[in-house]
Amino acid sequence: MNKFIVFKNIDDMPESAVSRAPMSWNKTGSWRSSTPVHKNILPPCNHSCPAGENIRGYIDLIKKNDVAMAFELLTSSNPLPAVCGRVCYHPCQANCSRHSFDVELQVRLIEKFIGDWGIEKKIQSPLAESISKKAAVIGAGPAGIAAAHYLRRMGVSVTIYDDSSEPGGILRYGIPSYRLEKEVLKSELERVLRGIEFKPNSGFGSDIDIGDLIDYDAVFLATGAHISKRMGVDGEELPGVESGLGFLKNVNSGSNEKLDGKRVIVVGGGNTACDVARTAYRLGAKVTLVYRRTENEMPAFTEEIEELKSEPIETLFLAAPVRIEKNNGGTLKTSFMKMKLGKPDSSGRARPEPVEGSEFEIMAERIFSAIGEDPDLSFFPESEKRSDGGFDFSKVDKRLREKLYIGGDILPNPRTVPHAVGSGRLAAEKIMAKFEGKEYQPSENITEVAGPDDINLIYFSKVNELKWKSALAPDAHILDARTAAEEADRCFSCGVCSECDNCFNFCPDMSVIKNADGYYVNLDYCKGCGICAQECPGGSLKMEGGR
Amino acid sequence: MTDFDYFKYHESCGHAACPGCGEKILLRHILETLGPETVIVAPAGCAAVTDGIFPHTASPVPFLHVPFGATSSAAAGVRAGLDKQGKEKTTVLAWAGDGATFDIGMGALSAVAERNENILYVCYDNEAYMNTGIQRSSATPFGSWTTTTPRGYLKEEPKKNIDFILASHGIPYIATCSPAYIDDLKQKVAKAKASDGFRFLHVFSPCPPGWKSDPKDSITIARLAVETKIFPLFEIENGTEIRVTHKSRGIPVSDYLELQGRFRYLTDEEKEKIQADTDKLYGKLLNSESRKTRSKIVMED
Amino acid sequence: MKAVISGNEAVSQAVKLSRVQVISAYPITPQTTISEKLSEICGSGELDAKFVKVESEHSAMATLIGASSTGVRTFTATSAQGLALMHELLFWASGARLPIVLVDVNRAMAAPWTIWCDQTDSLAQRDTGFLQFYCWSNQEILDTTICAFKIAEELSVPCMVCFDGFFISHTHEVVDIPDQSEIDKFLPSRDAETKLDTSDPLTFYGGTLPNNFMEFRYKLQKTFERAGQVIDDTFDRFEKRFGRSYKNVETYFTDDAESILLASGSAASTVFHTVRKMRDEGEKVGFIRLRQFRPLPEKKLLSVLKPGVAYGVLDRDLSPGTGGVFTQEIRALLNRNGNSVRIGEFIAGLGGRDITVKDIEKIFAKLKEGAAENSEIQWIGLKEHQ
Repeated sequence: MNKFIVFKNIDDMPESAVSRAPMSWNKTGSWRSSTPVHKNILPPCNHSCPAGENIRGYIDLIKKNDVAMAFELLTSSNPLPAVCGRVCYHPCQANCSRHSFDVELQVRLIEKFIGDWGIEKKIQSPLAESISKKAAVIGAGPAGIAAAHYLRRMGVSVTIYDDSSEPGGILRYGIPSYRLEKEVLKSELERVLRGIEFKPNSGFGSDIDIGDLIDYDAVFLATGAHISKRMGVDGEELPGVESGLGFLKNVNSGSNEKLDGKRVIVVGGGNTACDVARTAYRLGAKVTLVYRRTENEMPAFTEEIEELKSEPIETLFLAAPVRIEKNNGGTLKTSFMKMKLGKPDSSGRARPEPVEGSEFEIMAERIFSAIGEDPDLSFFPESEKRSDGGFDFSKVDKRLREKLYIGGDILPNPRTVPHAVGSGRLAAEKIMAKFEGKEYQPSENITEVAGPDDINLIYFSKVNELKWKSALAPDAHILDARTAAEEADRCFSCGVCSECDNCFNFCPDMSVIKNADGYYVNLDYCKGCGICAQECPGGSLKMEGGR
Repeated sequence: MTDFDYFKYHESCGHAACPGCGEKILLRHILETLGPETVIVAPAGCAAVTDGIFPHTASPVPFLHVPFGATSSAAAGVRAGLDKQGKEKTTVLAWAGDGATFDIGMGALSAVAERNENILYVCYDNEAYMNTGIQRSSATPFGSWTTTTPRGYLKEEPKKNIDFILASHGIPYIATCSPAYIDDLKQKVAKAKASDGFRFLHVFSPCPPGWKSDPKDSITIARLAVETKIFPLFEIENGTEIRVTHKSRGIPVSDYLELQGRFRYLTDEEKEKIQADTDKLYGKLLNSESRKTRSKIVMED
Repeated sequence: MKAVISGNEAVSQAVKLSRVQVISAYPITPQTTISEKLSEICGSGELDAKFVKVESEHSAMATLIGASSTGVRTFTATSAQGLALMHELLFWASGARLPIVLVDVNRAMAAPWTIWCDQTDSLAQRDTGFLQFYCWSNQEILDTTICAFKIAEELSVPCMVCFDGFFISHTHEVVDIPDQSEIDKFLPSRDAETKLDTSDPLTFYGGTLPNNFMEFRYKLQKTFERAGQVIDDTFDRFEKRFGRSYKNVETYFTDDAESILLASGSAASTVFHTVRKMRDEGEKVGFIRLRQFRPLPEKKLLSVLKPGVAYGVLDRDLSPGTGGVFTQEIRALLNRNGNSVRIGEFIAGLGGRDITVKDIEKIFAKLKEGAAENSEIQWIGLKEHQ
């Protein structure tokens, strides 16, 4: 019946014009000059996540009140949501398309909500049946933990070696407990490290060496960056002048140090500098943070800077130390030179230049240097630092080199927890691919990123600021499921089909068909009017030229 | 809603409506809500022409073509004929454009309304005689270009207020609907389906060729018509109980006008007049809504 | 059962006996009393029909088009302006092949305003595809209306039953009203082949391109061509059951007549009366009654019209610029068939003017003087020029 009926014989025709044949012979698709295509474009949150989280995905599940599925999806790419919900700098929020509309989606709080939910519900990650492969992970920081976790989930037998007595690395020894509660870390690590052997006090190069690793099928190296950069000034070796990271590690290891009434200078503008300053303040010190550029150039996360500023910590910008001397009575006298901003350097930030004759002095009992850290690769004397900041391991013992994977702060990536987690998971996937004899393929290969222009803003209303703020005030920090779902409901679903049915509902030609797998376009009849793409709220449906 | 799957009826595909046609979006949702126990009565117009040509049809339900001015009466006849055969449950859907409703069928429409015939009459309003080539009707708004209100002689009269004309007949249910608000549309159709007597839905039907608009903008225009208060969504029960079902955001009418070539010859003064007239009418609508509430309170005292 | 009833009431009785299911009508003189009576019998439940009381004749016919499309039996009645207002829909009803029965109580078309009789109103609808009967008695009205449903439903075409306003519609006569049970046997309920039915969703009368349209007109024409036989058979069956005979063309005193007048409607009664009177007076005059106009009973007419006789047609109608419609149709029929019979054209009684015995005698006198050979219109009963 799918044919245009031509009556050849008058006797075949009815007495009156009664129609019963369909119109489906009329393939109106031939009218089309452009075609709707359901494309999944990368949402900017997913695109910007160093850990590779499917943020849009779990936001959608939270919206649908399916926290369990959200937890599963989130922990399929990041095993540490409770940790990251607290310490990640959340570039997803900075890149959120809602940022320019009203206020960015509070992914941080939602991630934390999901992570805490997992802890509270004592969720166990599924572990695959053991396969006959074993891997060693050197370093129990976020990268090593992530790599070990995913390898174990995929059935690999894993041993983690770390030079400390407890796992966690920077999470445990670098990040102050006011940012990441020890209890949370402990609970999350219990889940993540289930089924994994942890060897404490086993520093590579000191306690174990290459010989201990030869028998493993793969080795993941993630020893981090521990060596504080030197300020390069006279007096740096004086007692009372210390590495900021070392100070944090001491405090986090439980030392009872008190800084009551002591004057402390922190040099640097990164996250470590901020953490050191804030930790010293909490131990009773009177803190001055000195940075050679301005607040705008501080490499610390915005959130850290905001919190630093909210505390009674003095900040001194455009100043750099030139000399430290010991005064009579043991006080340290630090001489600073005032700086001005010059032309941008290779990092794109304005280069600080000293102002002639601007020297001044500050007195203090303690000076912490926090101007950056470098990896300690002394166990591989053969390794060479490359120009991009990474290392060349081509001269490392061949027996190890062929199964060696690197991650975490050794890489030239920004040294952040989510970057470390991402590198760990990536290494685990590469290792598995190798075990399975396959070439590693990224699970998703989308390059196009959705932007604000892809959003049809008519479908969204601005948030009621008063109501929103009371629900999500930064000091509230804890979301309930309803608030989380309400917040998730604000998501534009940039570039990703949110199953809103608009394309289906608004098609005049019944050419957008909905089935269990989603939507498809019946090109036999689609006239290419473009309503579906125009009315796609998140821009996942686009018109493309031609039929 | 019903278990009527419009898509089961593959013959629904292949209709000959222009790309971006509002009428087809409306009809599928209305039929989906009404279900298969429905008979369509339609006069000359886009719906009649685009449904198909003999011996073909895109309609999943029985479809009776009738002459231009005959919709209401023929629907009443279908109703009578079905009732006489015990088919009282079948919905008789009169499906007519604005020309057939506001103009040539107005007398008969008023008559079936007065007789409270058990019909669901839906007027898909594309604000001119589109099928004959964009001639003005009494539904054409002030300042619109049509082929019979050409440049220099744009329509000088406002659109006929059909909803309140029908309201004065005291019929059980009147509602305005827009394809941009499918939920509201379906709710109203379901409500109309569930009631008896003469029910009138006035549905806004964007027409890209007639409005000189981009086919892709049909829904955007429909939404703006609502949000600019030009085509507010409301319902009237028993001729007096008025309820606005979606509060218009009050977007400037110029946003609506500028997407349509038919309004391109408007002067700034004329646009201001449209804004003022629109605000006035909408205010009147809101007032009539609240007046009802007020009188209720007095009565309760 | 015998009753003394008006022509209009005979219609109402026929509609009731025919068990019509949907009626729709709009008041117009002289049809109005049909609607009034039907309102009464529908209201009382004597007839189980829905009477849709519309706001115009256009809507009356539209309502029946809708109703008839669902497969039920339908009826309306009108006159003059009302029939003209239906004009568009009359074509629709026949093109849609709907067996709607319409009674037209003949009334002259305004302007100027008049409510009185002539037949221009229904004759002007001759091209709409309705069967047409012209009655001269109340009994014939009742019987023809019942048969009209049967014929219309068998042929799937609409049917018009016409009779003269006031002269017949408002005149009371003795009418034998058949038993309902007998009518039910004669006229069972309608069995429509296709209809609006949700279990078989069809689309009716949609757009048809030039590649198919003409065939529907051909089929309609063919139906009209075989309609004559169906009509004859139906009235024969009616006669067998009820004993009353109706022929499409009825002849009286024609065998040896030298002058014969053809007429229809109430004027035919006057002609019949006059012919009998003139026969008594020794004049060899005859009379032919035209009962059926659509389809025109061509064979019968050709068989009764014989050379050597002076024929005249009495037209109570006028197609301006051409003349009487009956005359033109019969002349065209003769001409088509190479028949040399000549017909005199007599226009009389327009707008309700009486057609008297004297008028008829005058026509026969004219025929005797060779008026049949005169191709000009001969006006009867018209005021003289100065």
